[in-house]
Amino acid sequence: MPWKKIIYNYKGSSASFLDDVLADVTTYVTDQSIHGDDAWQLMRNESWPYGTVLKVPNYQENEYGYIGLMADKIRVGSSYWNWLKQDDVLRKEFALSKKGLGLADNTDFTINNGVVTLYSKNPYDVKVGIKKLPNGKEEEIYSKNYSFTARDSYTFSPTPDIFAKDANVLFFTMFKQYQPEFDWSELMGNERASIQAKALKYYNTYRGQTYPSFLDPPLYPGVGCPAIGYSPDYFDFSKNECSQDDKEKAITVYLYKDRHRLIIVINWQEHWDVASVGFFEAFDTQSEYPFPAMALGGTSGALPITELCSYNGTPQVEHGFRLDYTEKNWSLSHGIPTFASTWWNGSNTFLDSYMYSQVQAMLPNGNWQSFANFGLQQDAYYYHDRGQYYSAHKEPERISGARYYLTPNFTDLSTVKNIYPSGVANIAYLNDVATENCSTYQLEPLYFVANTAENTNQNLLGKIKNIYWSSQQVTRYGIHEKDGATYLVLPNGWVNRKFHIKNFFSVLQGESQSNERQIAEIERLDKLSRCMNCVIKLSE
Amino acid sequence: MAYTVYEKLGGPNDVLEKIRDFLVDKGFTVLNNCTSDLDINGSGVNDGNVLAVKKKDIYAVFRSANGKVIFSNQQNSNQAYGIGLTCATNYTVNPPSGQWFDQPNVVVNTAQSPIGVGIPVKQSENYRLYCNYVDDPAIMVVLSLELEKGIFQHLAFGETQKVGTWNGGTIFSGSKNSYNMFPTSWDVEQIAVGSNHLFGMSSNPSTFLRIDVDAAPLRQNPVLWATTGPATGACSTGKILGSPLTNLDSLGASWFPKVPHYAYLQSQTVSDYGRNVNTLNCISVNLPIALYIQRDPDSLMNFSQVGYVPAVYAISMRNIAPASCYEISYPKSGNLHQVFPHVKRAGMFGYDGISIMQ
Repeated sequence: MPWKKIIYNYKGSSASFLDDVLADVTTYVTDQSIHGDDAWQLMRNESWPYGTVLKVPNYQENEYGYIGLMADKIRVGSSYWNWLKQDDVLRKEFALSKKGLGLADNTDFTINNGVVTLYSKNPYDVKVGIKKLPNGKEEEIYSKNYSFTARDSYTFSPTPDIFAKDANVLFFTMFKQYQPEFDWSELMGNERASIQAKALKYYNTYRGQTYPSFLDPPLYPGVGCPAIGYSPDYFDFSKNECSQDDKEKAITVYLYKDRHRLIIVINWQEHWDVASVGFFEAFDTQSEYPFPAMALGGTSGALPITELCSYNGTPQVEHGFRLDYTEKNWSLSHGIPTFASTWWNGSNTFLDSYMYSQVQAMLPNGNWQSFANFGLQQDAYYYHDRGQYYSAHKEPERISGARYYLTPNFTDLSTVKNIYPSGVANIAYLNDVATENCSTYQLEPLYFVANTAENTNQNLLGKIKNIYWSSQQVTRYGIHEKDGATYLVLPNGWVNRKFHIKNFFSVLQGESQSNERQIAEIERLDKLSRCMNCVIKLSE
Repeated sequence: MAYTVYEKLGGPNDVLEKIRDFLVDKGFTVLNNCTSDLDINGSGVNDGNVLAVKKKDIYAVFRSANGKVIFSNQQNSNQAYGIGLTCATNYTVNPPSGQWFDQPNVVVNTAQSPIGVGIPVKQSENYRLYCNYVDDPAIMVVLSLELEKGIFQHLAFGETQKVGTWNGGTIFSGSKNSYNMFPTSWDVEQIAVGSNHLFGMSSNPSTFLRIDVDAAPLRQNPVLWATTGPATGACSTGKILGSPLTNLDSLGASWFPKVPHYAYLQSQTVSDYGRNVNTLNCISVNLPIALYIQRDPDSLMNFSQVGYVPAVYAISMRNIAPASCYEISYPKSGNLHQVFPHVKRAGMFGYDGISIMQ
């Protein structure tokens, strides 16, 4: 199958990078001279909130799906609120929504710059004419009119936001049908459940409310879908151009496309991101699993946070997550599909309903489902001696109660050479030619797994084609050739990434831990870190 | 037949003229060609135009409102801009009272005051007017005014696709009735408040059917029209017309007829798609709008089915954009339907909408 390597060099601003990638992807996947009958059809190519839509063949003849790609420039403090405070959005997501105010049809209210005000209606009569009665007398005719008195006024504070950092983002999803008038959120088959990001707060200012009401953040168009994202100035070279050589400037993008799916890999220096969107290989037949859509991104954006809030003078710690799509997000929600992670509040109920990760597939019932192998949390420690709170990332946990995950899914892969017995089909082997002893990796395919509700049976839904986990530590990343096939080996986000960085080793726990124990901890994490690799097969 | 769209519309008189143009194009006979009309309350001022049309047994009379009320009993006279519609069994240019709605066998409420349906129309810059006409299986005209982008108000009139043989058949409906047609204010949140589902049940009904049912025409005050709401009220005629579509707040009312309804299939909240959409393959089903009539004696609340609203169906708007056309019968049939929300997609009636055969 065809693949392509594109190199970008930005001498000044790189703000257009993801737009440029999107343009190149669109040109490439629709090129009939490369793909012949497998070339996709471009339905539209528009900016946020509409996005780019490509018509893609499903497995059965005359059955299609639509791949969605959308670039957006997210700015903390403005993007989300400017979207949410639009009358149409605030009416649907807050004023009339049962999750928000849940106003009845006949409630009189107005929306003005994000403030929802409710009114009481006061009737008064207006004389509209005089009627002559048969007895010669006159009767005045009245019409009932109404004046309004404000009775409740709902204001958001602080300015609502679901984002934690400025980012330029490329979102990925699949649609079932295409209707030109609909934006990204409205297109059919893109419905996503709440991601349970940290709640927005609002107050009834008319009643002098001091403890906030909470609103589950409505999904800004694009949010909820896997993505690749960067800080707006991440690739800029305007400041120190002369000190950078061409190799350092080069951002390399690899595109792989076959009839049903697209893989994008972006590499700059030691930083790698991967995304894939299209149809996976379902193990059920087409009639049993008619729309096996998947969307895998380099990041879900989830960044666990804790905030110290104070209401009526009482401080309290709030946990949750907001979205940081940039390279700076070092939680496992940003990384390769094999280590897909969700924010987690610690309960299995949460996992059943609200799992949100960078690996998503559409279940046979038509719902998008995130698949995750690790849960992310953040904690707050109260340090008595200093009278201060510290927040710390907890170590990512294997979420054993999760119903939807990916295999292979071992926590510690460092001693594993083979998961499946040799001789099993679909398993390729790859030599690391850079190492002196030329060790052999087993390439483990990635499968979507669904547990039954009782957690007694596991069902393999299907295989993510061409993306593998390598069973041993990798020493050289990039293109590998073996037996005429081309492979791309990449780390989890960046080279030498740690599975987890312990917070406050010395400050909080150092007193109670021996140095031997701390060193053992570091070695344990190092071993885990070495497992975080991904291999992509670019050609047969 | 394909729909017609008029853009860049002015106020009520301009919209009325576009309606006239459309109906003339569809072979209606014009009985009163948008002539200017005096205030119904005798101020001596011309404050609107009258349009009367005829086709087969259908007599429809429209009146534009430009600041003054156009029916005897209307609220919100301070916002009196809109178009009213009523139907009769004949038409006279010079009614005895001089009032435009004073027509033979016109719809009256239980207090014998002429009533009808109506929609608010902005004084200028109405967004678009979509006009649909179908004559097979029966005549039906649906006029859909988009006041602001995405906010619709409808007027519809035509003949019933009958089941059996009975006298009458003219049916007309509007997003609001004549009492409610003017908004309490022109704020976007207020324009549509008080609207009904087109051809739907409501405690403030706005759908009327001309029918001779049992002894109702022989009563002391003859009952010639049935309406989709309670037996008493500003726009009640004394006979209940049952429809499967309904405002959800009417469902539990004591007057609500025990006929098959779509209340459980309709959107239950602003973000509920309803159960009439197949999310697995994104298909909405066209549900026919059957009509049921209350039989004598009224107190027994017995209903008989008398026909269908022709060419108009209830749908979920989940997968379809307002005013767009879609092809029914997956995957290819060539049969197009145009769809509209009753008021606003993802608004007060959620995703409830209508689909009109082209």
